[in-house]
Amino acid sequence: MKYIGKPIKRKIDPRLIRGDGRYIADLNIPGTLCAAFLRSPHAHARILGIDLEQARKLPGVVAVFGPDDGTDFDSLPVLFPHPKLVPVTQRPLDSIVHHVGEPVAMVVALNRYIAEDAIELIKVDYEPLRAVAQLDDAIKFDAPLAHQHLESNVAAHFQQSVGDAKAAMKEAPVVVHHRFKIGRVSCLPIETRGLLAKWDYNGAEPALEVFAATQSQHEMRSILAKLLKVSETNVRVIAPDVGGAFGAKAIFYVEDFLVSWAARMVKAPVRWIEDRMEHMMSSIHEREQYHEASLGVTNDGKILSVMDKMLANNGAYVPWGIIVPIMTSTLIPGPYKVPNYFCDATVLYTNTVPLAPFRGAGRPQAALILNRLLDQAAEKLGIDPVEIRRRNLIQEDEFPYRTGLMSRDGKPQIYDSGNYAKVLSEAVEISKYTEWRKRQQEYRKQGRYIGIGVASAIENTGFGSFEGATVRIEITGDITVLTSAATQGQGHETTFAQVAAEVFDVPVEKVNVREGDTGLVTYGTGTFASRMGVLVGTAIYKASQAVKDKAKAIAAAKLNCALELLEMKDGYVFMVDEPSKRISLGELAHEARGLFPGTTFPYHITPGLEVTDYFAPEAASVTGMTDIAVVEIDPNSCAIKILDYTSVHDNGKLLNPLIVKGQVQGGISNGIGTALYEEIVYDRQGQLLTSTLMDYLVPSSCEIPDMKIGHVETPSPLNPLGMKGAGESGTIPVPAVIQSAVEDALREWNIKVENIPVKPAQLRELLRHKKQVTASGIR
Amino acid sequence: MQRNLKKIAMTVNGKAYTASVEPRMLLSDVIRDELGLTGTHVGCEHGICGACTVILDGRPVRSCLVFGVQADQSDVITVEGLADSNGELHPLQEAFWEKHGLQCGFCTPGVLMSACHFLQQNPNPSREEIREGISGNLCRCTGYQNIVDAVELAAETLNKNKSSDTESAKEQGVHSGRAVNV
Repeated sequence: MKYIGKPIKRKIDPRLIRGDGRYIADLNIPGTLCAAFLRSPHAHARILGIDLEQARKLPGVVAVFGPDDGTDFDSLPVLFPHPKLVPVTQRPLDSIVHHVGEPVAMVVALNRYIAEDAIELIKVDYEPLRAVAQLDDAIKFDAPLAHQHLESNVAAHFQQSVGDAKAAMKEAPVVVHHRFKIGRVSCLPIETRGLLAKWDYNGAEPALEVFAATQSQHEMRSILAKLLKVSETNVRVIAPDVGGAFGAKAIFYVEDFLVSWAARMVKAPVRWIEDRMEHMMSSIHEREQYHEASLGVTNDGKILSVMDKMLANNGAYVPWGIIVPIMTSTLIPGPYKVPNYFCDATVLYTNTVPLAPFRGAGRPQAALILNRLLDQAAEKLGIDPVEIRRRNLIQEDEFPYRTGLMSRDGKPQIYDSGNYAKVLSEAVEISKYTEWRKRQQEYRKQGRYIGIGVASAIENTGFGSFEGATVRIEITGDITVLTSAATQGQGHETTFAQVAAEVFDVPVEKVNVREGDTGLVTYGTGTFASRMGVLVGTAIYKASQAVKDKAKAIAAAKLNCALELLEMKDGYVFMVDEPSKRISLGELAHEARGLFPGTTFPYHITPGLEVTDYFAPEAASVTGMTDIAVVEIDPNSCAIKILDYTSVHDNGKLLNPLIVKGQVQGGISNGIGTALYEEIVYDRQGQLLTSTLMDYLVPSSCEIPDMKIGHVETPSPLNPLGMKGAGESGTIPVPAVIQSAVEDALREWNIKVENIPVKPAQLRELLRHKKQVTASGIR
Repeated sequence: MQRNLKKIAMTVNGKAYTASVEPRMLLSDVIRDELGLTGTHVGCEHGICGACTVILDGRPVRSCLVFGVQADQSDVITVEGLADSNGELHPLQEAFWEKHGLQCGFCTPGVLMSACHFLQQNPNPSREEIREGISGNLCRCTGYQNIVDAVELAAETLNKNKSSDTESAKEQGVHSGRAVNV
């Protein structure tokens, strides 16, 4: 391949590094007003009265809206319904608030300073209701109800099962247990959410144009049309440059509706830019789950049975159903052969920000469970942690592999391809695992505490249902590619250009990719779930092939020769035997438009060198990865330092290794945040204790180490280019590998590290407790 | 609506600007909304993320923590001032492109400004020192490794340019044409 698989520098960069990016806050549309929201300080409360008059009187304020304006608003639609789910979705400007930060009133003013002044002038009379925030509390029989109209806080209770896990566990000669308390994190793109809505009244019907920092412009269009009761034809959603997303911008939020609605009410463009505190208290969170898990193995470490009991917090609403706990429950077996498996999951409503997929989407939690259980079993059996994993991995010749579980789409879960043993071996080699094990003992003699963690995991990527692309040859000879995707830093403009460049055999510079606009491609879903390379990449590949065939058909007619005698290269179609007989792509594009009105179209193709195609994969393509981390712990402060980090990935055929490596590095850094630093904390009454970046620790360049990244390529059989997703896999094994390494470093204390994030204060507490117990002579 | 406006004058990227602003208006908002230089991004407005970093009178500052009126009579350099007057990219910008040091690009202007000042202070940094030097700028996309690689590469290029500049300056005396001299 000439272009696919090459580490080509990104086409978008010159614009962004000059400061010429156009993010939502940068758009310059004359007459644009600014919106600000008054947000609830209570976790659960009824609004008894609200006084908007003082705010309305402030000079520069254009409009103020409160609960009375929202009485006929519909609740947000239920996405991802599930037979076991009792769905509650948010209703804009509801008179009952269900978490701190929920919008209560909205001001539209000439600028944001005035809008925020007006927010201060709104007086609200709240009747606080009993609130519940934490999993321990929410599950209790007499817990306060997160929603008063429900009978309990249980949003869903479901189970996954393969074989007879209970019976197999009873028979197992060795059984180990581990508990997991996984904290809550924020997606935290550096650009917060934002929206600019503008109505146009010059057409037959009012039309809405929305610029949004979104991952899914097509989803947003359909929901806006539904809620605003207008035709989708009259709604266009455009995602300009978007400053990171990681899941936070895949969701449709009430603010998205309210800003668009308000723009219609005030008859002017309205923009809202979320501030960081709003982001912490209103943009989705993820990860929070508790697990109690058991593993039964044979005496030589072969897995017999895995059982898990999961409690998952879903916050106050289910904007994306219960996707996250479902994902966790179906991926706990991961890359390992698990003949008997049982998972019992309870998903709870609480008066907190809703949980929905953040990069990794339930999989980092899944990867923790079995990897950490295998650590316990290895310890008990005296087997090396790498060896026990090797003995249990699904083997290369066992693909396609049926796990016995049902996938998210209701079909049997099948792993399409992989070579997990090779991924593990490469990680062992690159990380110099064996040397580190030796060094660990030497360091120990010097009083240094070094721990080595290892974790293998998978990601099911490239989900359906579909994405699309239009490919066109312009009369200039340039190639235009329009896609249904949106980019938030993934470099689509380069990787997708590489796919088209490969088919047409033209330089990447000749291909222009445009996306993030419902006006470009009729249907689409969005950029999430590591699916764009696989789905859009394949759609472009197919559409490009079809355009190429059309171009060759015209050339065959013009040159009066058989199709088979023609080839395409460097902007020309030419005769293989006589390369001087050639026609440029631009000329062919011109021919494909017909001569002039009234003439008969002379070619046996549909006019225009343009084809739109969609790709709907039959199943997910599954990636594999193994991470190995070396940490050092200061025995006094319990500070944790990562000394070495290795990650080996099988992301199938890579479109651009430079970009995939960047995705993996970024994913790992998000994983390190989850594993060691980041935690959104609520108190028991649902007050948010981490509403700024002073309280919520995002890893900086000093916390993230240099990483050694390796790749193994097992092409997926599910698409013509053999691609697999790459956006999230970096994140997935990190919490497992870090928790594993920390416990290994403190092995002589024989403590169990159960929390994520792993924090020095918890470790100190565990060590102090252990020392007291030892000193008292009780074992 | 004209409430208590103060007139301020600043040199931004070598060009003189005046604006009438409320005393409470943040420098970040003055730069973006009054001067129309939207390359400076706002990520947290409480001085942690570093996306809004600009060079104010020779020192990097978070422009969300400075009022516009405090910058009266000051010299400001933003990301738009990094490339030279012919539009040629600064070696730091080139290095970020070369090393894939950015993904979404939102934190990038702030990182570039911090790194630019850092390399003035420390032209031959170790990787550890680079990490320390840019630790006030949060990036959620890259995991920082490629940013460190880029700053390392830029240091090399700048040092090379410096030695060849000294050579050619001896011969003919040159002017860089950049708002920023690194």
